Amino acid sequence: MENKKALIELKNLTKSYDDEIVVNNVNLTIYENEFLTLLGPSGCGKTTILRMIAGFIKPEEGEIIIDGKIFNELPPYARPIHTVFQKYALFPHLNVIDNVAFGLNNRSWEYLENFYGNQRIAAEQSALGETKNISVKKALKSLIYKDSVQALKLVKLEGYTNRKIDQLSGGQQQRVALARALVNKPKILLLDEPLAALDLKLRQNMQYELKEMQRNLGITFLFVTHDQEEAMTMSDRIVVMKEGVIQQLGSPKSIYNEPINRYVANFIGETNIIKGTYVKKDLVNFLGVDFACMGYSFNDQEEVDVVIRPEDFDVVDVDKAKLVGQVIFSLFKGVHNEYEVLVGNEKLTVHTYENYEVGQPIGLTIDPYEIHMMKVEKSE
Amino acid sequence: MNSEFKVLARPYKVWLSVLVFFPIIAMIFISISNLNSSVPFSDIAISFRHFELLLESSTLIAFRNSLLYASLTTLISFVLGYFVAYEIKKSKFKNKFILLTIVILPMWSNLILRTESLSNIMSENNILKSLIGFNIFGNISGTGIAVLFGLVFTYMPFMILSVYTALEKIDFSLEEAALDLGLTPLHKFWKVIFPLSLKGVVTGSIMVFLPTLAGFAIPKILSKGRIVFIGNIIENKFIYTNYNHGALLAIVILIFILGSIFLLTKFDKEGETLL
Repeated sequence: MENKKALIELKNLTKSYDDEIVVNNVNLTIYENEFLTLLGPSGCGKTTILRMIAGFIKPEEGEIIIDGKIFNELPPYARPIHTVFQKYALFPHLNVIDNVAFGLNNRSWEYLENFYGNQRIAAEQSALGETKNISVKKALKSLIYKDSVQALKLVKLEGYTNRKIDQLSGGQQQRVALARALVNKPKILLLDEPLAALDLKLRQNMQYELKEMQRNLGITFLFVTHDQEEAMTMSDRIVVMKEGVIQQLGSPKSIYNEPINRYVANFIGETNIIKGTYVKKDLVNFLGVDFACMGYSFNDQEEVDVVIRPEDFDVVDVDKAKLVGQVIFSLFKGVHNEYEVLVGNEKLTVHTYENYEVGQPIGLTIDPYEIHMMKVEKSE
Repeated sequence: MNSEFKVLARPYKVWLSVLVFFPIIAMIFISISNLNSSVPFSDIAISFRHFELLLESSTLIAFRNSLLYASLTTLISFVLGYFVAYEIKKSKFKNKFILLTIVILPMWSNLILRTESLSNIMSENNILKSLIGFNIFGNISGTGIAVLFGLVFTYMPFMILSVYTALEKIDFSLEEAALDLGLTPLHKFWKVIFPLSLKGVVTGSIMVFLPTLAGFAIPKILSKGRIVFIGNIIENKFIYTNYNHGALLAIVILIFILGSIFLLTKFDKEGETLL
C-alpha cells in the first residue's frame, strides 16, 4: 500500500449536529484504486463522512483533500466523485438509458469535449457518416449513447435500455444506479449501503461483482456498510468506526485476527474475549492454563484481554487437551457445528466439524498463532 | 367488510343518479326539443332550431371570453403559484401546514362577499382609499384586468396546493443524485424537479381552468356586467325561463369539460393525476 498514491485525504474532519459530534477528528488517507470500507453500526458517522466527501454537507473543521486540492467548499456537482445511493435515487420520469446518460447529457459542451477528447469525437463523426458532415453535437450524443449502453452491459443489463424504472426489480435498479455513476468515469465512487435493500443471495452476487468491477475499472471505491461480512468480502482495507471515531484501520484479515479492542472484536464476527495475564514473553495464562503465544509484547504479569475466534479452537481428545469443558448448547449451522462450551466459569463459543452431544465433555487446544491479545481498556 | 362499504356508497350513488345523471339526460332532451311552458305536452317534438343560438355573435363572444380568461387565469396561476409552492416546499419553516393555511385563508370567506369587496376597492372611491389616502388598484373596476385579477386571486390556491403536493412527493435523494451527477442547482430544477412536479401542474391547471370556464359570479361582479362569460348567458337564459337555450349552452360547456378531461387522459396515460 505504501507505493500507492493518496487520492483522498481527510484531515481532522469534524462534524456535529445539534451539539452532538457525529464525526470526531477523523484522519484518513484513501489511496488510488483501493476498495475501502467504512464499517460501523448506524449512527457511527460513516455516512456523514461519505456525504462530506460527496459535498452534500460541509465539515465544521478539518479538510477534505482530493488529488492535492482542498475540496471543502466545492459544491457536489463540481467534484469528480459520484455516489450510489442507498435507495438508488433513480429518476422515475426517465427510462433506464436516460437515467444512465443523465449525467453526461446535462454536461456542458466544453466538459464533454474534454471528457471524450477531440480524437474520439472526430472518429465518431467520421464513423457516423462518410459523406455527410456530422455535427459535433450529434457525435457527442452518439458517444454518450454508446457509453451508456456500454455501462449497462457492464452491470449486465443489456436490453433493458427502454424499460421504465418502476418496471425493474430492486436488484436491477441497483445496477442502473451503478451504471449511472460509472458511465461518468469518476475517480472515486462512493457507495452508501447500496446492497442493504437486496436479499441475501443477490447481495452476495453483487458483492463479488462490485469487487470485480472495482478491480477491472481501477476506480477507488469508498463503501459504507454496517454489515461486517460484506466489508470482509470486498474490501482492501476496512475502517471500523464507533461514535464518530475511527477504532481501527487495516486489511480485513488484520482486523479480524488482530482486533485492537473489545468493540472491534465484537463487531467483526463472533469471538471469545477472555481475561488473562501476560506471564512473560510468549507465555499467556488464561482459564488457569498457560498457553504459548507469539508476536505480542506486554509487561510481564500485565492483565490482557485474550481474543480467540470460535473457529480457531482445535477440538481434540480429552486426554490430549489443554482445556476441558462441557458442551452446554449446540447448534447446527450447515457448514459447521456451533457449540457453547463451559470451561470453568467461562462460556466459550466453538466452531467445529466434529459432532458432540449436549452434556458431553470436549477437549480444546489453541495454536500459539491463534491467540490474540488486546490491552485491557480502563473504562471497561 | 366490503359489502358494508358498498352499503355506505349507496346514498351517494342515489344522489348522483337523481341529481346529476337524470338532470343531464333531461338537459340534453330539453336542448334538442321544442319543449317550453307554452307548448302543450302533446306537441312536444325534437327540434334543432335552438342550435342557431350557437352561431349568434353574443354567444361566440361569451365563449371566447370564457376560454380566453380561463386560459389566462390558468397560465398566470401556474407561473405565480408554482413558485409560491416551490418556496413553501424549500422553506426551512418547521410547520409548513401553517404556510399552506395562509395560502388558503382567503377561501374561508364567502366567494360573493370576497368578490364584491374586491370590486369595491377596485372602484374610484372606496373605504380603503379613505383609510390610506390613495387607490391601490387605481380605478380598474369593470375592466378585464379586474376580472382576471379576481379569477387569479380566487383560484390560484388550488394551483399552489396541487403543485405543493407534487413537489413534496419528490424524494430529496433525487435532488442529491442530480447534483452528484454534475447538475447545477438551476439545471437540477429544470431537469428533475420540474418534470416530476408536472402532474401537480396538470391537476392544478384543471382545478383552475374548469371552474373559471364555467363560472359566472366573478366576471359579473368585477366587470360590472361588461364582460360576459358563457356562464352569465346560461344564468340569464334560465332566469328568463328560456330552458332550451340554457340547457343547450350548458351541454356545450359539458362537452368542453369532458373533451379536456379526455385530452388529459390521453396525455397522462398512467392516470397518475387526480383525474
